[in-house]
Amino acid sequence: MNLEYDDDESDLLRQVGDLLERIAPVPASGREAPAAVWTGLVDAGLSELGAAVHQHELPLSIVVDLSRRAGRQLLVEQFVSSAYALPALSAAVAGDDARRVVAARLRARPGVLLADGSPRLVPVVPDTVTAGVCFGDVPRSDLYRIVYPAGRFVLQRWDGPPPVVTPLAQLSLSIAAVAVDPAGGRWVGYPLRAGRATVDRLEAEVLLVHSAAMVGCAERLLEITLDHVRGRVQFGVPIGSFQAVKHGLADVYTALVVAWNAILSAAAAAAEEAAALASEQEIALLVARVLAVDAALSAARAGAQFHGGIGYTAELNVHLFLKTILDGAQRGGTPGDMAIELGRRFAASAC
Amino acid sequence: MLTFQDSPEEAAFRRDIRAWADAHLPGELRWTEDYDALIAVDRLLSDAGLLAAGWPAEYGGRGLPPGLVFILNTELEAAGVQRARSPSHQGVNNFGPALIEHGTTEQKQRYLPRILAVDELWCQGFSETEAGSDLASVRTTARVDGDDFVVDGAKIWTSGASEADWIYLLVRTGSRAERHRGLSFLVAPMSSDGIAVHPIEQIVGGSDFCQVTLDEVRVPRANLVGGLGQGWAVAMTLLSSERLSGRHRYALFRRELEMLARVLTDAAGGDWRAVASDGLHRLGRLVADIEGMGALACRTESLHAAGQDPGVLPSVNKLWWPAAHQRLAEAGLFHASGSGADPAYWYRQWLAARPESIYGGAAQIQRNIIAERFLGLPR
Repeated sequence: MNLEYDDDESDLLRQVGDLLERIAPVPASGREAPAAVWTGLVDAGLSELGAAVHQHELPLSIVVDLSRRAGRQLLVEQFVSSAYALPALSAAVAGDDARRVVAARLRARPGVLLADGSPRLVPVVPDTVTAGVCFGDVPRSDLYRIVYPAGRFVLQRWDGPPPVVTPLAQLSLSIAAVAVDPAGGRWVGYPLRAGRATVDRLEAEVLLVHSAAMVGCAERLLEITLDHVRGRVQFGVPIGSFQAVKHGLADVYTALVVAWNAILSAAAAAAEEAAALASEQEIALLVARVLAVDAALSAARAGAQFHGGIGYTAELNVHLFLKTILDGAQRGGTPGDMAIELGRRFAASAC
Repeated sequence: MLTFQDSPEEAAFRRDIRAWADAHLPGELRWTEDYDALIAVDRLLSDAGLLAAGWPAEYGGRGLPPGLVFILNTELEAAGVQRARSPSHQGVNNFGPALIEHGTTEQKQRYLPRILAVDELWCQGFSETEAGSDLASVRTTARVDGDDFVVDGAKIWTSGASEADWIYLLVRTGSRAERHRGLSFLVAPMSSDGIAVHPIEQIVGGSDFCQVTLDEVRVPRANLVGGLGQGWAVAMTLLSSERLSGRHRYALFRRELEMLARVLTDAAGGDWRAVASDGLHRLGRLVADIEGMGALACRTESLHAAGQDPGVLPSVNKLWWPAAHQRLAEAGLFHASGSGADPAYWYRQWLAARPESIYGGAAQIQRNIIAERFLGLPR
C-alpha cells in the first residue's frame, strides 16, 4: 500500500497548480470566471487528461489531485467535463481519423454533455432528446450527448445554431437548461468502441474526479473564511478566537481531510486492474462521493455564516464558491441519492 | 504511484497471519469480552511473537515496519481480536512505546520483557478530578525524600486498575505555576503501600475504570522515566499513540455496519431490495463515515511507512471515529427497536460509545488543537 506521491509526481502537481493559479486566478469579486481560461487549460495540456488515463499514460490518482487544484480555481465543471470526461470519451471513438477530429475539436473549444435529467455523470440519452440539463461553462462550450441506438454507444456533437441556455434560477454559474432547434442543425455522430463496462467505469471515475474538484473548491473557501475570521475584529478580538467559530471551522477542515483521504484511497483502489469494477471499488468511489459533497456543503454553510453580512454581497468572491459547490453537489444525483445508492451497494454485499 | 496492492512480502505476511489465526484462534476467543479469554488471546499472541510485533527486535519485538504492523492489526481485527480490549493494551501500545523512546536501558530491560510475556499488566494514572482535559494542571505531587519520591494524590478514570500490576503516573515535581514544565513521569507497582483502588460503577454495569488514591506512596528514584520535569514529553508521546489507537476498531465498526444492514433487511422481510429508502440513506451515510475512518487509517499508515509526519491526522482521526461510531450505535438502536428486533446490543453500544469522544483528548480539545495548531486561529 502506498498513498503518497513520489517526488516527480509531487513536482508535476505543484507545477500544474501554479499554472492553474496563473491562468485562472480566482476573482476577488464578480459573477463568473474569466473567458480566457479554456485557452490556458488547453495550452497546459489539461484538455487531454481523460484520454491519457484511458490509454494508461496517467494514473487516476494524479488526475484527482489535479482536479482538486482546478477546484481551488473554481474550475470544477470546466475541468471535469472538458478536460476529463469528454477527452476520455474521445479516446474511445472508433477510427483514427474520427478520433483525431474529435480531439482537435475539443482542444479548440470546451464541451459539455447533455443530460436528460437522469442522475448520471456520463449521461446516455435517447437520440430524440434535444433539450436537457448541462453542467459546465455552457455558453462558451460545444454541446455533446451520448446515445445508444441499436446497442452501440455513439458520441454526438450538436452542429447548428447555438442552443438556448437558461442558467438555473438565473443564478447558477454552471447548471443550465439547454434546448436546440432540431430543424436548424444536426447531431454529428462518432461511434464509440466502448462497451457498457467501459462507460460504467468512466462514469465512476468522473464521479471521483468531480469529487476531488469539490474538495479543492471547498478547501479554498475554507482558507478564505479563515483569513476573514483572523482579521475581522469584534468585541475587541478577532472573531476567530471564539470557540464557536473555531470549532465550526475545525469540523469543516476535519470533514475535508477525511473526504480527501477517502478520494486518495478510492483512486488507489480503482488502480487495481479489473474488467468491471469490483464491489469494494464501487463502494470506495461512492464513499468518497458522499464524504466530498457533504464536506463541501459544510464548507459552504460555514463560509456564508462566518463571513456575516459581507458574505451575502457580490463585493466578495464568497458567493462564487457557494454557487460552484451548490451546483457541483447536484451533479450525478443529489447527495441523498448518492447515500441511498451507497446503502444499497453495501446491503447487497453484506446480506 | 498510489496503490493498495500488497508487495510480494506484504502478501506473504498477510497469508501467514490469516493462517495463524485460522490455526490458533478458536471461535470462543474471537470477539470475546470475557476477561480471562482476553488474557488467553494476549498469551497466544505473545507466544507467536505477535503481541508487540512493531517494537524493535532489541526489545523483544519483531521490528516490523509500520506497513506490516498495519496488515497484522487489520488481519487480527478481522479475525475478531479486539486490540483495544486487550488487557495488555496499556503496556503494549501506550507505555511500551513511550518507554522505548524515553526510558533508560535498565528500565527497558526491567519492564518490556514482562509486558511482552503478559506477566505484568499496566494501567494509566494521568487524569484527576481537577485535571481532565486540562492535563497540565495535575495536582498529584511527588517530593524527593532520600532515594525515593513520595507521591500523594489521586488519579481517576483508570481503566483496568483492579487487575493491573503496575501504574504509570504523571505527577507534579515542580510548582503548579510551572504547569507542564513541573511534571514528571513515574512508574509504581500497584502493590505499593499507600495505593488503593476504588472501582467506579459505570453506566453500562461493571467497574472497569477506577479511582486510584496515592497516600504517601514511596517510589524509588530509579522509577523516574525521562528525567525530572520531563514528564510532559513522555505523556505526549504516549497520548499520540493513544489518539491513533482507535483506528484498530475499524473491523468492529465494519461488523456493526453489517449487523445494521441485516436489521434493515430482516425488517424488510429478508430482502435487501425491499429496504425503504430512508433506511438505505442512513446506512449509506454511516458506511461513508466508517469507511472514511478506514481511509484515514490507511493514509496514516502510508505516511508512517514513508517516514513522514502524520501532522493533523491523529487529531482528525480522534475527532472523526467516535462521532461516527456514536451515530452508528444510535441508528442500530432505533432501527432494531423500531422493527421489533432485539435492541440490547445497540442499547449497550449507545452508552458504551459515550466515552469514546472523551478519552485520549475530548472532542472539544481536538477541535481546539485543529483550529489553533493547524488552522492558525488565535487562542
